[in-house]
Amino acid sequence: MRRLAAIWPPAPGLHEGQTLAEARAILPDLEVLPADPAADAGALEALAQAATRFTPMAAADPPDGLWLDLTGCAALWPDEASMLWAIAAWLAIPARLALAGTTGAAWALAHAPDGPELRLCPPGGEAKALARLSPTLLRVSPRAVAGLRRVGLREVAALARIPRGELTTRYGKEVVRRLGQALGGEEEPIAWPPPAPAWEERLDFAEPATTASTFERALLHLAGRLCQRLAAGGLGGLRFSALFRRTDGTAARMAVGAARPMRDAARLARLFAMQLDTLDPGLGIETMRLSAEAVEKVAPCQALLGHEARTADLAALADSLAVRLGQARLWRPAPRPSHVPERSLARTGVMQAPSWLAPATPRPLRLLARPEPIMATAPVPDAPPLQFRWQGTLHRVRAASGPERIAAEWWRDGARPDRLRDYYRVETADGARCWLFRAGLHGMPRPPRWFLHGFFA
Amino acid sequence: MPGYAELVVATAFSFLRGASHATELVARAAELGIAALGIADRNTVAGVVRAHTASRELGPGAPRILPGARLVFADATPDLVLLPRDRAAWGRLTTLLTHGKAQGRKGGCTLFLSDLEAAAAGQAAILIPPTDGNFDPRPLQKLFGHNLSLAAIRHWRDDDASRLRHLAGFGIPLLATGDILMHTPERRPLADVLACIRESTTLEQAGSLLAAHAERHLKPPAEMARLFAACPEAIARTMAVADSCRFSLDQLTYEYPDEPVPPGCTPDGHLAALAWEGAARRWPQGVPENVRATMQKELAVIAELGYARYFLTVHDIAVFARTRGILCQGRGSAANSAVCYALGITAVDPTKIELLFERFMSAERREPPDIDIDFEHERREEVIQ
Repeated sequence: MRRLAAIWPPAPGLHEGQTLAEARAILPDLEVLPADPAADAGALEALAQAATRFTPMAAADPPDGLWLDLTGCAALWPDEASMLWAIAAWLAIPARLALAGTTGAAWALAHAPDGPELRLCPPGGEAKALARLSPTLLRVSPRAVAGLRRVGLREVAALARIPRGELTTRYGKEVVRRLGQALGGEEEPIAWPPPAPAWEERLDFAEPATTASTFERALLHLAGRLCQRLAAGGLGGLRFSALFRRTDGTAARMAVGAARPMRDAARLARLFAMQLDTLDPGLGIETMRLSAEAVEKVAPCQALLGHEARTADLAALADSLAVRLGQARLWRPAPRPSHVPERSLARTGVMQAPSWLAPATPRPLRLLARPEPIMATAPVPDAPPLQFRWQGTLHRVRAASGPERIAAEWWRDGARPDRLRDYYRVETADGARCWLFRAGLHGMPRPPRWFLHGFFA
Repeated sequence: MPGYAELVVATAFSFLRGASHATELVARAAELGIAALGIADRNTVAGVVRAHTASRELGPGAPRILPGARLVFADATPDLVLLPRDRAAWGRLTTLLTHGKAQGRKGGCTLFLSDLEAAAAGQAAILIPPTDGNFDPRPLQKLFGHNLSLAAIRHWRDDDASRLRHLAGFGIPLLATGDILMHTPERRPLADVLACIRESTTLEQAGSLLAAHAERHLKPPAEMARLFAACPEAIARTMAVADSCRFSLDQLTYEYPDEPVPPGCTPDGHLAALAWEGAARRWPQGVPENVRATMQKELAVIAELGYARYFLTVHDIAVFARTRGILCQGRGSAANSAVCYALGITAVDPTKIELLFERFMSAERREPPDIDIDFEHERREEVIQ
């Protein structure tokens, strides 16, 4: 039995908890998506984290609410109303906002079913604003609400008039607590999430610095502090950036990437130092800032161990090469499923070790990036060539095997029946072993062409 | 110019492998001048009927169809194509396939080498060597003797020539074949897509699961002779095997299950006797002349079409019901038959109502007759049992 968890936009006749069959009967072209409560919770947390741009105290109120403590934040806006408008505009999703002096009042006003979407409760006006609302909006348990309704207490105002002692005896402490949280007098503890730590270190120079040696020392110092903090958290950085702010306000940036998460201060400082010759200090650098942009957990590893040390060396080498040559020019081949030889290779990162299977048919040790055109003489229609001319030299073929027929990948290159290659392994009279192919068939409108594609030795 | 017969052909009934319909394969084979086609679908004979009717419709010049199947085993036995050489061998092949499907999962067919023993007699067998070329030929040689051939296929790989020499060393006669999946190379995209569906992958990811080339299509005899110039006896063997297979689907007719008749009588005679007996009961004063003529005509048609045993079965059911006191009544087009009235199957009196026998059965319509009988529904189960 599938039930509706949420409906947007609100439609007459549909309500949450209704069975899907009934809903579809009312609205046949209903678009249905599966509910994912875990993803919703994650999204709410992310929203709370993002809302810290308005106030450092922002927390999620599951299932679909946010708490924002805006005490003192209104100073940045002309008035409180425009602050609420700004928040609503930033949210950009349909939302109801309520600003009040107490947590309970704000919750009740935001969740009240009718009324404007943005509500402002003047300070001290909570009792008046909540007067006509139902006690459920105070977050009191349904049993207690039923009990209150039985004796005719349907509104908060009526509830507020009853002496607290009597309310406690009849309905328990919770009702009184919620009433206090709404009308004032009771604190409500909210778990504000702590801010994310910034992986950043700053250094201000007493005098504007211009020499490379000064920068190198500063880099070493900052790297040491940053890496110490990373190590304390069991983390390593994958990308680092350094910002140099000049006296005239402009800034220069440098970046370093690591193949594996690292927190080696000396190595980090060295990688930045390699780029110092590109830095223009201008009239002098007054502030330096070193930050780690992507951090990951790193298991602590022993200082000396055979394989581990070698892969660490490879990572260090890869990082240095990447800084010198550029990240895009450093790659390692990996197998890709394809019959066409030049497409059977893909590029992958240096630190991955792909597994290679032995090829089903012989493949040359060296494959030319582009097949080289040659002139070849071969008996028609598909016998191996007897001789071929490459770069001006004529080579006689002593022995050959083949053909190995590989047809073009029709989903990429088109499906003409003569788009194929017949490959031959040939050994020439002077002992060289090459891989030749004939592109196309004899007897077709386009005459076939011959190429050299690789060497076996 | 020697003739050539392509004996290992998979039609679209080899699901998700064959990329051409039987009609297309037959038409193309006729164009190319191939003498015969061996229909070998994977663990099924489902494709032979279409091939047979296509060949018959094309008339002279069409290839002869050799019905058969390609057996794919659950143990390490290599694939085997069986082409029955006579009617009895066809029965053994179909029994084997039924047995395989019964012991397999739903929709699958599980066969073992031991299942072959009952089915081996009278078959021409073609062994398809596995890709690595290593297999044990001795159990199959024992089963099939000189009726076993070894398929020589050009894989268009670097080691074709050395593979062929290696196969020749097994001592089994070589038989040239293309291991056909499609009728022209233009079907390659479809064959690749079918392979991707079969392996649940996409074209980009499939890699070596797809064929590297499109050579598994029907080729003219001259081209096959050129490709196997190193062993012309493999080409000649295709014609020899095709000639030794004399079974064709035309030899199959419908066989009615056994209907017991008293010894010394034929089914037609027994039916006629029962009909006249019944007529005598219906008209104790003597059978009217027109009814007698009608009944003679009907009995003649029944005898010509050979359906006497069917009527005897229906009569038996009606008698059984009457003796138990179960109400029964014939209806539908069978009511047009005076013979049925005489036998007591229906209750429409020919003297009172004009009957149109041709509506029930006629010599032009080659369909068997259909007699509907209603039984009282509480006791229906008794009759069925």
